[in-house]
Amino acid sequence: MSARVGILSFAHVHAPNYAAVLGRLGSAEFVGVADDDAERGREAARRYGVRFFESAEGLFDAVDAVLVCSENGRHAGDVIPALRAGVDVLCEKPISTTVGDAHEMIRAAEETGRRLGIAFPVRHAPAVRRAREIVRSGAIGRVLAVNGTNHGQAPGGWFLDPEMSGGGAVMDHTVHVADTLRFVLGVEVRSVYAEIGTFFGTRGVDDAGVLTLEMEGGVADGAFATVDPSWSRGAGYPTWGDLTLRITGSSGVLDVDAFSRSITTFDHESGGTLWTPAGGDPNALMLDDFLRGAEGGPEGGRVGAGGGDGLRALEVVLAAYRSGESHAPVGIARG
Amino acid sequence: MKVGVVGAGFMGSVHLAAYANMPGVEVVGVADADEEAAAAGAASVGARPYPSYEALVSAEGVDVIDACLPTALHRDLAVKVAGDGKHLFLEKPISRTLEEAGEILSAFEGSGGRLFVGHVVRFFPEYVRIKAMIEAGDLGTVGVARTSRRSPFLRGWNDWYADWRQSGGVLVDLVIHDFDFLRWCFGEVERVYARGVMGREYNRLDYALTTLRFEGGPIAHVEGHWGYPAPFEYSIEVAGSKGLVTADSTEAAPLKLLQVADSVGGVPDVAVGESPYQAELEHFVRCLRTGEEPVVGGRDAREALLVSLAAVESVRTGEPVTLGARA
Repeated sequence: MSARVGILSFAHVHAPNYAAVLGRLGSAEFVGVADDDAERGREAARRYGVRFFESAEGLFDAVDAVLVCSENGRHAGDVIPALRAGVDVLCEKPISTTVGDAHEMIRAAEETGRRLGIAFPVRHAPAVRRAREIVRSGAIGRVLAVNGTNHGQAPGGWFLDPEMSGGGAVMDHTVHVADTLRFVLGVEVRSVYAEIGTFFGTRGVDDAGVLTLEMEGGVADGAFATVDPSWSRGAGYPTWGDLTLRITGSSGVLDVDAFSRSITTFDHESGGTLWTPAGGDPNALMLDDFLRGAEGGPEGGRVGAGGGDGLRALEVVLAAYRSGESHAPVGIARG
Repeated sequence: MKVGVVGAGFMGSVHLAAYANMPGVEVVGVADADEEAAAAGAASVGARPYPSYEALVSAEGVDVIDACLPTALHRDLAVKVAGDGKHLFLEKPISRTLEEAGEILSAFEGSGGRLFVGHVVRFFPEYVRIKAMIEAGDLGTVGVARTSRRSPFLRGWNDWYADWRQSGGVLVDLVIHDFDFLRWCFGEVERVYARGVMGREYNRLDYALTTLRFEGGPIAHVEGHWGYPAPFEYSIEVAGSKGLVTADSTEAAPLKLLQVADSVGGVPDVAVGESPYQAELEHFVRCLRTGEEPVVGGRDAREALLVSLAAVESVRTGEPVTLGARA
């Protein structure tokens, strides 16, 4: 049985990827699109051969689940009405730009009994799933430290408007690594130190940073991790970016490259080089997991991230921005 | 030019091999407290072995002393060499403490001898090329530099690397290479924040991740590992507004040698072309002949140590260390 699915807003650059996946996913019936930018929504609906809904409410009435791909600052305003309309929601990351919004979204899910998922596809990357098993098997001893990256390119548009995005590279990418650390190691982040800057020609928001996280719990209690979320890749880079972890343990090292360059293509006409991954597509695995409400993930539950996971990742980002101002480690009081 | 090598351990033998290829340079004596090491080192270049620096310098008319000793012995030897009016090629780090570094620098002021410190990464061809690209503006405004240096645990004389009081651990002995290189590229460091396992791990392992903020703006992330369970590896990435450059010892190797037995330790084997150690020593010799300034001076060596010790302090306190105030 497949779930009827809609996409609310094509503001986020990931929306077209999700739409393409929905079209070929057995667990999904892609029903339609709603978008506050009607022209953008109509164009997307036409491209994927689905219906355009004039209102979000109309879309909610026609689906079981909705993917919210609006601007970060609009997530709460889109997600809460969807939940209240009785629809399961998979919300693009970050969950929101404020802790207050995140709490309201989580509360709405609890009150309505609908599911709120957060789109952290890295959890579903086969290399990351396997890394979780390897580290927990004790193969590298006690985990001491993690050197993590999530590089990419500055997306442009509303991503450069702090009102809508909540911040630049540090907001956009830190959440992926923070969530992956929590997923792989079972840790929580206790405090954050950050150096943040704008160097690569981005206007309006930060495009570079290096964060250091102190971790507690799980299989890395007392370990530390660094995160480089910089938009330091550009048009000349052979792929969109990366997500890597070098996990150093007391008796070994595990290098994780979630989107490893399995295939290299040299295009003689453009002169360009392209790296593309091979194997399981994390977006497809994530959407399938969410739509099936799949059991059989870690500890028998779903692999996918929920609202609480989204909040934990957001707290790391907000602490990083405060540390970037104060030049001191900032503790996280998990709310 | 007559050279006396003091310390015929692992690095001493690398230096001896470099001198053997250098016209106009003669190694006349090799000193080591370990009689066998002195004899083997001396035999490799046709020099005479000595049990100590004093014995070597009183028997041989040397111009230059090349010291490849445990770090904790640098100060005492350097002050003697300066007092004897000789030139000194000193392995990095310049010393274990800033006080010792200050004493060494003062000893050479007006001594008639010159001091050179072996920050050899400034002679690795890929690093030289990256520095030139940054300087030429090829990368535009640099935002983030990432470096990594991962070494098996070294077993030196008396296992001195494993004694943090003598070696300073991975930040003072190994990561100092990258701190020096990054200072060369980006100037003075404003803030240092580091986390490491020193004092928490005793199984011949030290690991640290350091963030540097430079006065001119860029951020650097520096990884250092002692006790890496594989042969030596290093990498660097520099990201700017106009481009990104990377070099990784695991990806680009003109020669790749695979052996059944594990090889432990060892210097990075560039294998093709001139060794960076040879390039470094040739540069020092040329500076002595021409009077030109070296690409890395005694003050640079002291500043790199300052950054390393700030990182050690940050690991200890959990707080960032601001350098502007204390430099």
